[in-house]
Amino acid sequence: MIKVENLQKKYDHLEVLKGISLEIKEREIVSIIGKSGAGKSTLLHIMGTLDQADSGSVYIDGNPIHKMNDNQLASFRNEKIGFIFQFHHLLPEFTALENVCIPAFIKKTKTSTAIEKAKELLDYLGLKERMEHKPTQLSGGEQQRVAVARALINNPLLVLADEPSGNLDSQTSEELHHLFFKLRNDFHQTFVIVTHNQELAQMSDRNIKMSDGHIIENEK
Amino acid sequence: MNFSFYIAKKAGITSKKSFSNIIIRIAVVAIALSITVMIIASSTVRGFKQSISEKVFGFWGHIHITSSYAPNSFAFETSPMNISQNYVDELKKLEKAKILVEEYNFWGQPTQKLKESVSGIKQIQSFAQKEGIIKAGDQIEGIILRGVGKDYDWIFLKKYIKSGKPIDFSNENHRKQILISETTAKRMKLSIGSSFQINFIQNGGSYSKKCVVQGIFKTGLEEYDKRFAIVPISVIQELNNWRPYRSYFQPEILNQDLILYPVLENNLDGQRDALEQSLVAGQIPDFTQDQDAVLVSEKWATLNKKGSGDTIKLNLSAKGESPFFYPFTIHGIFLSEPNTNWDKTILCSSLYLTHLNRMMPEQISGFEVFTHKIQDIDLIGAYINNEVLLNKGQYANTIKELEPNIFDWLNLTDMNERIILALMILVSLINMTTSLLILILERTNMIGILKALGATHWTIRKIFLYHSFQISLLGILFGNIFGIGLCLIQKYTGIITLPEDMYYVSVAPIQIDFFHIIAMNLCTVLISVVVMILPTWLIVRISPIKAIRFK
Repeated sequence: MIKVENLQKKYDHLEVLKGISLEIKEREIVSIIGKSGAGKSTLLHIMGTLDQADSGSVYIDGNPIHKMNDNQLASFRNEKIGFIFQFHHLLPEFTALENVCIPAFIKKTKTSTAIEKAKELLDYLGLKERMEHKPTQLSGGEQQRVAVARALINNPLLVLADEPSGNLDSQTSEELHHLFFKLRNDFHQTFVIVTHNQELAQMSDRNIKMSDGHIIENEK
Repeated sequence: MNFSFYIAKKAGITSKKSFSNIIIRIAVVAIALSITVMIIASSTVRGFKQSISEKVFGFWGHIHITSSYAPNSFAFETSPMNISQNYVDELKKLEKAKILVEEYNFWGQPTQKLKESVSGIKQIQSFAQKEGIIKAGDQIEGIILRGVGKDYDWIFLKKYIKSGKPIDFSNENHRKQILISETTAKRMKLSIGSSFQINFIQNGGSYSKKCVVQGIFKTGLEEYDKRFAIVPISVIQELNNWRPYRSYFQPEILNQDLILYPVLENNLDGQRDALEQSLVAGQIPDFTQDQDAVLVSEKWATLNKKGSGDTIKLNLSAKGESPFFYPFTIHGIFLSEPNTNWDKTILCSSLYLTHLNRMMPEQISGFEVFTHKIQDIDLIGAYINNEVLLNKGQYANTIKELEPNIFDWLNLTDMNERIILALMILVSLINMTTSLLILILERTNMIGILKALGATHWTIRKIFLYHSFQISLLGILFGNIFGIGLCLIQKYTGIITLPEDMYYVSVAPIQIDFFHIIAMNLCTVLISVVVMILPTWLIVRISPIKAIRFK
């Protein structure tokens, strides 16, 4: 599903990734763990096409994303990848339903189809009653579940999450973690999650531990 | 669904974020002010041009037909032409002038194009002009007298008569009436009813005429007010010795190379002896009894096979005029000294000549032609020259040709308008750019999220273009309301006044041209949207990672 070869990335003089290679299979849930500054988020961003490596190659579902231009990347991101961030990053002017619809609107899905799909997802995530609420009217867990729904609306192959539970209490975090596994089972997505959360790491199919720009552990 | 428009609408002006709200309001106000200034500037420039040219045209008419071809120079002493011209009625009926114009196409080849005027001719009136010197008390001033006839349209000048009345042609003393400008009245210390002398210099002699101030006008055009006075056309005709006030005192060369020698009845006694001595046939007539009597030279009589008692026809018209033949009877033949002008001389009664002259058409300086539409002046002028006056020895000149200075000066104001419009557009562009940049920076987070969700750069840039379009539309709406509103207030109340001696108009003139305003609005919208593409380039440079890293 994902194949990364000899990935290198520098910010000014600081080497963040020093030749990363890894493979992730379809429907796998992989946690990337490690200390702050180890390069976890940078790796995730490069895999998510939000950032570009200085050298090395990334294939997602066989597509060489390191060779794509801005517009190709944008539509690839829109259709194949779903993001969940630490801060939910919902747009404050839009309701939960509208926020979920945005990636579908970008994809130019028919409005009615998009809304129907968004409603299904929100219902599935237990947010049926909160659809017309604005993000500020939702709790932290609810906000993050709306963000999950937004990540899923275009049926992506891959969901990338950057410390998704970093901002939630332990109870809500646990619920979110279980949700990821439920989603994998129900929708067959591949998950790559950057996390500090030990519980989540434990639950994952595989942990990739990074330190100082290198992978130091890659085990089940 | 248009995604960019959807986002712009939802996250745009309705946004309650206080800071961007202030920025948006400032941008809207700035654009509204620019548009207001643009509308006022263009309406006043137009109003100014229109009211000044209205005054110039009102004073002069649109096209002059005279017997001298003199663009770029106004001849105040003109040669006369007949008032009865058969083209006058034809021109009055003219509804549309059509003329073939030679033009050069894109490749520099001459092509002929049929051009048509929008409308025709409104009015044709006769005029005559003469220069003179006013004398009142110890004050002396040069002046140009404009003679106007009964056909003169007072509509224009009536508006500017400050006191007194127009010339009253029904009054039998109307030939003493004169309208002078306020400027002249002040300088010469004259008021309604005051009388003064106008002096003229002609043929080496000087004449004077007494006038009574009938009215005082002020057009506001200093140049004209200072120089002109209005009198009945007959005064000019009399002073110029033009028909119908022409009198014969001096020998005159006729068209058939004859010299007409008017004999004064009371003077005949002095000449009788000399004449009787040279008389070879007939007798010296009593001109008071036989008005049409003439004496011809023997040489002429032999040459033309005429004898005493025969009738001859003499053409009394001046050179260039259509001929007017009148019959005379030969009463006597005199012997002239050979090869002198006496060979060609015909003696006749001056009184009878004066009488005949009354039957011939009046003489005037020319005609003033008014067209219905100002835009037609050039075309109708060319039409009259090329189609009507060809080979007639008469010429049509537009007032733009005759008074180029004032029209060149008016055209200069176009440049002012353009500079103001350009500056205002620049101001609103700078304002919109700043506000757009602030909005983009304030929305970095949203831009990052949309990028992460797969929106292309162009999609996101379009959101902000819609946004600036909304801002400019709002600004333009308010700008139009204010601009047109203020213009209408000025137009109908004239609140803002101007010193007339400096601006030629007493109230700031307004001419609202809605077509022009619409074009101005469209240009502003178009330019602002096109120029706003540039600042949205900033969006390309916003990295989604930096934007979403922090809340």
